[in-house]
Amino acid sequence: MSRLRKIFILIIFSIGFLAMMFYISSENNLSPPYQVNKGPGPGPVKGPAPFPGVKVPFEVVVRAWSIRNITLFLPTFLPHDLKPTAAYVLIDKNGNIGNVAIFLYSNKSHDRIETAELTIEVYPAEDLPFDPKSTKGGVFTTIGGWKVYYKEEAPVTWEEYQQLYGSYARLISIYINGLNYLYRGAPPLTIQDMIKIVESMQPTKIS
Amino acid sequence: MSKFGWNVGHFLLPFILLVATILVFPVIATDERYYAGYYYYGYEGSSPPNGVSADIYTIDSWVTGANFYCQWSGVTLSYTYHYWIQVGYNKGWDTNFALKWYIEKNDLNGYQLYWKNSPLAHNTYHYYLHRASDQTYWRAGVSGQFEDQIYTVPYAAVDYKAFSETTTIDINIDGTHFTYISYAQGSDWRLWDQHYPRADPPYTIQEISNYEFTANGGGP
Repeated sequence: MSRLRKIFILIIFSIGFLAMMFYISSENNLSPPYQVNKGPGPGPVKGPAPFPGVKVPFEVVVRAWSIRNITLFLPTFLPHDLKPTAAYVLIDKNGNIGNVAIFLYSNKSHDRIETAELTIEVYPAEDLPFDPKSTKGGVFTTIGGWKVYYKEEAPVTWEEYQQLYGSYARLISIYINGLNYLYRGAPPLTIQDMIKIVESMQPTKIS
Repeated sequence: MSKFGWNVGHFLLPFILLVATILVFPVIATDERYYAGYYYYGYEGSSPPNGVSADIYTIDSWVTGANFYCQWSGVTLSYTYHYWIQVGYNKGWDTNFALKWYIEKNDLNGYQLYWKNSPLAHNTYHYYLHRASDQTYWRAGVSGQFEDQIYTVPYAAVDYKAFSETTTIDINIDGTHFTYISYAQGSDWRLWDQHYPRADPPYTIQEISNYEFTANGGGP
């Protein structure tokens, strides 16, 4: 083999090797900066620990909160054959249900916060937690007299969510009686679907 | 060596490759996370308080490869969207294996990380995040060292946290100590009156009180 040929083979090998290393490094999540762009939108972001709640039926939260005179509003219209799959709450040593709850809906039986198609994060708040001065884009309005903010593309940085639905969700936040309801709707849900869902919210009743 | 045989030049390229590999390898960061610390989490009450603070002892642990550890206090802005803001210190490949303070947030407007100066190892610092009731930004800082105003969207807290976080169980966190963990009610600071612990094996925490814990474990 000529010297020139050997050098050529080594150069090709080198380029291939470095390209492989670059590919591997770009496929992994960097931390920090935790974010890697994979196509349009932000990539997954690692960060603090997820919600430590336990999975319970919706009725458990409705019942526990009603004892505290908290009236929970939930949607009565669900497109795309979505169905309630689980609620997540914290339960303390005495069996008390926490005042943050996450309700999940899915048409594929997704019962995890990261992967459900429709989620509603409900928590006490002083007001709608979106401020027109510091919030870029989106729409501030009212629905049924309640303050609402919505945005068609809100980044969701859970890796599992992004693998299923991409980098964005349809966000709607509605403030009702001291509780903020933060909706996350995954495509193919549209913002119009989400508005209809929010418009259908009714106080829950204990059966 | 014959004219057509291997000479020093042929070994130079593999050597360069080896060096390149060593340089490239550190950015292949791990996806793993191991946590030890407290969630605050309000069981009762009408609205979450206005901030979180903690005194955190600065441990100086051995970190290698594409790893890091950080210890911080933080505000959860949304669990479902994975939005938060936190202030803490970090040591790892991302800080050239030096101790560094940082403020980090991830929200509707995207991810941002602000590196600050270096804490002294084996010293305790007071970390805080505070939002006045009529404001939509958080004052994030370390007492006597730095303070920034950071706008977040959404601006309100869902929960608070005080945690040690590592990317590999090979990092030993012995000496971890969080104390005077507090929440803000208006402009008053009050010690946490509740907590929800989490410790991912092999890490363990010792729950001294609602507002104090130590943690240890891990290591090669």
